[in-house]
Amino acid sequence: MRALTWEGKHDIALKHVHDPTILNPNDAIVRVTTTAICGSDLHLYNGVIPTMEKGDIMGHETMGEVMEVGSLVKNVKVGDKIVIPFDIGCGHCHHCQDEEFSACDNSNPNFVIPEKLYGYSGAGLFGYSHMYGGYAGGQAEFIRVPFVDTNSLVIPPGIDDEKVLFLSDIFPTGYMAAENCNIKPGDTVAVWGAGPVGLMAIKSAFLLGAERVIAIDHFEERLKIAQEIGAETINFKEEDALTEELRFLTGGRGPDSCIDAVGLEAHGNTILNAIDTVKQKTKLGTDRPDALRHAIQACRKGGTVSIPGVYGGFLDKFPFGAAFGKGLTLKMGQTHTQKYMKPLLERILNDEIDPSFVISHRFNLEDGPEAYKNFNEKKDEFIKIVMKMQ
Amino acid sequence: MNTSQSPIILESRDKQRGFFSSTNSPLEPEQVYNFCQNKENVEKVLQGLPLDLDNFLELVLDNSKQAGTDQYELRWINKPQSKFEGSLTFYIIGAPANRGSLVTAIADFEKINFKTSKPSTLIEIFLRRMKALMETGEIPTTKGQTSGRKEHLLH
Ligand SMILES: NC(=O)c1ccc[n+]([C@@H]2O[C@H](COP(=O)([O-])OP(=O)(O)OC[C@H]3O[C@@H](n4cnc5c(N)ncnc54)[C@H](O)[C@@H]3O)[C@@H](O)[C@H]2O)c1
Ligand SMILES: [Zn+2]
Ligand SMILES: [Zn+2]
Repeated sequence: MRALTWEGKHDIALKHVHDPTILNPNDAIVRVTTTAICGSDLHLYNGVIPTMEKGDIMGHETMGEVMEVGSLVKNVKVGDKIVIPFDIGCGHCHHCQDEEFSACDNSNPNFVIPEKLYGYSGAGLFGYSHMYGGYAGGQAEFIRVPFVDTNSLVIPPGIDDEKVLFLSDIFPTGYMAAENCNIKPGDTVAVWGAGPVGLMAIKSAFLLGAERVIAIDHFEERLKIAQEIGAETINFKEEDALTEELRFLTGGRGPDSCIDAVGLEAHGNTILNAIDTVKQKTKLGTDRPDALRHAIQACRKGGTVSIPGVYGGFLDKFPFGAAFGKGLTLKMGQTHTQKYMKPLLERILNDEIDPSFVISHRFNLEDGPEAYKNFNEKKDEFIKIVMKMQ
Repeated sequence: MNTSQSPIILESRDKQRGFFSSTNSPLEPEQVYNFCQNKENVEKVLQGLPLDLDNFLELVLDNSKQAGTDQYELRWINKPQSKFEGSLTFYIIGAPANRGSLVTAIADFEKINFKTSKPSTLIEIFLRRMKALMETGEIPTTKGQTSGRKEHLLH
């Protein structure tokens, strides 16, 4: 089969490799029909997530048709069209039973590495480094899906892939980020990052009853889409007093909740961000948390900062005093995708939302290396890329 | 349940050669005990670990339930004709606050080739593989999966 593989920083290749096979009795083999590139993939592309190895197959936003199932699979059948969540749950452990699938005890065979770093290990993830299990990803013609009964949402026939593909990640991620804000009627939510995750968070915040959403980014094209879906917008490059501006826009109180949909590669013209950038480049630091610093600073007293943006290591100049002083609630983490897939499919089928509004480009798998380059370098134009298999 | 009579007395192990680790499972102690009693299960968990298996796979059941308690103790030992002496002991107790079971394993070996891993890490991996097999019916793996590395390239 053909697959996109990680060959080093800024180096994605298209390779012809062996097809995946069933390795365990709860596995399925899926023929991929549509897959997408996520902002999280860019963290791998830019080399800021450790434990990638040359030849790793990329991709964690995937759907397709089930071709083969292992001997213990009960609910999924050959021929089913499924969306595959990016995080791998076993379905049986304490955390999976509590619907905390991305905290699964059993699915990460390389649990030793995160356990040393974080105390406990999260779930295995598709195509997302050896620290997260080293599972081959879905930017390929076929993918092996472990524990497929848990890690699949069967899609009724006749629905366009593009409408449901993002149930694999960014829609549940934006939704969980908004849900974590505990939104009450009349609330104002500020969202840093108007990328696909930020846009899904904006939509979800409205679905959950927010009165106003304010989107912050520096790419006009992305801010334009945010506006189209009802948000007010701020271009942070044109605004040197972001907290002041947000205070002004919220009647002096500050946003009730702030969502960081940027993560560890924030841009910005602040001195702290310049220091973060140098440290990240020279491996003296791990993360560039400038959006998060702003979100904490701008949030109202007693508000919530919800963090779907990915972080990996140790954050410098983290304004913990501000979070403490204002009594903020911080919520974060990899999304428990499986928990949200079904109810969010209902919302799609009820025409409450069509997540395909974020798609800006459609490519074939062969164009994958080019697609990565464009997505990384021209964010204004390339907002969300899906790849179709012929 | 009363955990004050826990049989796990780690101080008594020989620091030179007794390597231990604990893990939690939502299963009840009796279910864990039944699982650990099954030789096929223990062998499955051991397979693929970087151990010198030739000297280790032949095991016999040594010990069983502590009568009158819900605490279990199990020991697998190498067969007498094995080159090296060694044992693997499981202690299984009900975890506090209804959290299923707490399983501790102590591996005790005269001499064993631990190959690449640190012994304590190896026992931890052993227990986690066991937990996964017990809870899900399989041991998660990526061994044998395809990739873009040389050995999996078509051309
Ligand atoms: N928690 C999860 O489970 C989960 C799932 C998917 C993605 N993510 C993470 O969410 C984040 C966003 O993903 P995406 O696909 O939208 O990525 P993306 O890279 O397309 O979008 C990020 C956006 O943030 C903007 N940005 C950068 N610095 C900023 C700043 N200082 N202030 C405001 N905006 C700023 C960028 O201009 C860009 O538009 C990433 O970190 C990704 O890894 C997390
Ligand atoms: Zn993602
Ligand atoms: Zn689990």
